Amino acid sequence: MNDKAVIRLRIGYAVLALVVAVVLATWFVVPSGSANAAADSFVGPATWPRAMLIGIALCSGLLVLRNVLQYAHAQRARTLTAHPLDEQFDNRKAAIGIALLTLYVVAMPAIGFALATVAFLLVWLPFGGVRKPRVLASVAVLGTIALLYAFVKLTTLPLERGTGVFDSVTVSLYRVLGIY
Amino acid sequence: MDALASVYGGMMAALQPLNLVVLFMGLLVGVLAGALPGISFVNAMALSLPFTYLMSPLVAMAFLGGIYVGGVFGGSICSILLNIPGDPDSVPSCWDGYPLSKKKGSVYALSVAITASAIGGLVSALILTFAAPPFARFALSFDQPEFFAATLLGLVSVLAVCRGKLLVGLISLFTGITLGSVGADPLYGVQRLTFDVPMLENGIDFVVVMIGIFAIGEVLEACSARVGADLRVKDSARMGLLSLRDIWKLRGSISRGTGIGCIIGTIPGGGAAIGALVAYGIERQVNRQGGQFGTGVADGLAAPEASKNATTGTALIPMLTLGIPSSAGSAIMLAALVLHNVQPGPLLFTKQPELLYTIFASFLLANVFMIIVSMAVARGFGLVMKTNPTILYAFILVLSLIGAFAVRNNMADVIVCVGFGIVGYLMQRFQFPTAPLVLGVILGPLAEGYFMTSIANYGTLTVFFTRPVAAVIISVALLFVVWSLLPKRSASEGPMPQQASNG
Repeated sequence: MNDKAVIRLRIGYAVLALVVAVVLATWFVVPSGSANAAADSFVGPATWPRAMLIGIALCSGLLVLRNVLQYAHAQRARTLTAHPLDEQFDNRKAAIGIALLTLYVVAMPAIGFALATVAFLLVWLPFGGVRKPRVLASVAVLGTIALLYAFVKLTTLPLERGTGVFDSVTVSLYRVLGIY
Repeated sequence: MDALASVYGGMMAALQPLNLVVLFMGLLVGVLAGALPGISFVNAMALSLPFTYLMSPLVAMAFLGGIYVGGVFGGSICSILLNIPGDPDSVPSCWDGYPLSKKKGSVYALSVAITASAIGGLVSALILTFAAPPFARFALSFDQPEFFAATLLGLVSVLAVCRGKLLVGLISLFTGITLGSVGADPLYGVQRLTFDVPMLENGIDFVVVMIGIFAIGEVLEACSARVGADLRVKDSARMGLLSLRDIWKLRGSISRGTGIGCIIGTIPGGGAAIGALVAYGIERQVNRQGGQFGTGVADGLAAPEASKNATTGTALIPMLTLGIPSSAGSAIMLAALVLHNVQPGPLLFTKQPELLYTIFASFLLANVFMIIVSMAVARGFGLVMKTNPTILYAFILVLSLIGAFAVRNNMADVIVCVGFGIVGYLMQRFQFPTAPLVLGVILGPLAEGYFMTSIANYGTLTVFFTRPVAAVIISVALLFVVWSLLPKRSASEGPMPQQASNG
C-alpha cells in the first residue's frame, strides 16, 4: 500500500470515528428528561457515559486534525512511510473463521453444546489443515466428551442442550456418558 | 516476642497434614482456574464457598486462601504462553510476558513471573502477619473520593502502554468506559445505552469483553496471519525460581511492584488488576528501559507480577482487622468466616489470636507452595501448547465460549463475546490498541460508582482536590497524563511496541 493510500485510510478511520462518536453523543445515552428527573444533584445517570462520548468525539476531532495536517505536510515533503497493513493478513481465512464461529454460536442453542461442538470441530479442523479422519474423529469426539465431563459433570455448568428432539438426544447422550 | 511466638504457633498449626493437603488443593484449583480464560479464580472461590461449610474455619481459610493466591498468579501462565490473559489481573503480564517468552523462551519468562509473584506475595503475607494494624488505619483514611482517585490512577496508567498512539489509545479507553456504563447506572438505576435491547439491560460483563477481545481476537488474528503468528510454545514451559543474580538484576522493578501492590491491596476496591496496571505504568516511567517496554523486557513483566500478588496478603488486612473486604477474593473469605460465626474486626486479635495467626501462616505457606503448584500446572500447559496449532485454536475458541457462558449462564454473553472477538480482531488488524478498551470496561464501572457516590455524599467536585490523599493520587494521575503528552526524549522512546498495542 502506498503513502497516499495509507493517509487516506487513516483519515477515513478518523472521520468515521468522529461521526460515530458525535451521533452516539447526541442521541443514544439516555433521554435528558429522565436523566435529570432521576438526579438530585448536578450530575445524573447520563453524566458519566456522556462525558466519555464527548471524550471520544474530542479525541476523534484531534485525530482528524492531526491526520489532515500530516496529509498536508506529506503533500509538501513526501516523507511519510507506509504501514504494512494488508500484506500480513489473509482476509478470506479471517472471514471463514468468523463465519464458522458465528454458525457455531447460532447452532449451540438449537442443537445443543455437545452436537454443535462436534460439528464445529469437524469443520474447523479440516479448514486448518487437519485432514486425517482418525485424528479428526478422535479430537472432535473425545475432546467434546472431555469438555462435557469437565464442565457439565464436575462444575455443573448448564450448557445448552438444544431444543425439541436435540434436547432429548443430548439428555440421552449425557445418560450414556454417565453425566446424568 | 509475643508476635513471633504467635506466628510460630500459627505455623505449627498450619503445617498440620490436613491443612497442608487442603492448601495444596486450593492452590491447584486456583492456578488452574486462573490459567483458563474466563474461569476466574473468583468464580472458583464462589463455587467452593458452600463446601467450606463442612470444614473448620481454619481449613476453610487455608483452602480459599490457596485458591486466592494461586489464582492471582495462575492467570499469568496463559498471558505469557498464549498472550491471552487468564483473568483481568493478568492483562499487563501479556504486554512484556508474551514477547519475553518469544525472545528468551517461555522458561525464562515464566521464571521471572513466578519469582516476582512469590516475592511480592511473601512480602505482602509478612506485612499481613506483622503490620496489619497500621495498614488497617491507613485503609480507614480512604473514602469514596480516594477510591475514585485510585481507580482513576489505574485508568490513566493505561496511557503508559499508548505512548506514540495517545489519541487512538484514549479513544479506545473512552470506548471501553462507555461500554462499561451500558445498563443501569449505579446510583439511580436508570438504563443507559441499552437501545431497548433486553440482553443489554444487565450491562456488558468485563470478563466477556476480555475473552472476546483477547482470546477470540487473538485466535482469529493467528488464523488469518500469513506469517509469524503461531501460538504454539516451542520449549518445555518448565519454570523455576530465578538465580539470586537474576533476581538482583530485577530488584528495582520487583521492589517497586511489591510496594505498589502492598499499598493498593489495602485499599477497598483496589485489587490486583489496578495494582498490576499501576505498577506497569510506573515501572515504564521510571525504568531505564521504559522505552523498550512491550518488546519483552523482564522488568516490564516482573513489576506487575510482583504487584498483583503483593495485593493478596494486604487485601486481608482491612478484611480481618475492620471487617471491610478490599477485593472480590477477600469478600468471599469474609463470607466464609461469617459462615463459621467468626466475626472479623479488632476483637479478633484478642479473642481468637490462634486462628488469626494460623491464617497468616497459611498465607505465608501458600506463597511458597504456589511455586511448586504453578511449576506443575505450567508444565502441563506447556505440553498442551505443543499440539497442532489448528487443534489448539479450536479448543481455545470452544473454552472461550464456555467461559463467556459461565459468567451468567446465558447465551447472550456468548454472542456478545463473539462480537467483541471480531472487534478485537479488527482492532489488531488495524493496529488499534485493545488493552485500553478492555481496561476501560473493567475499571470504568468502578470509577463511575465511586465518582457518583462521592458527588452524592459531598455535593461538590472540589472534594477530589480538598481531601489530601485524593488530591495526591489525582496529582500523580495528572503527572501521568502530562508525561504521556511529552514528546519522545530519545531514540529509545520509540513508537509504541506492537505487542503493547495488541496486548
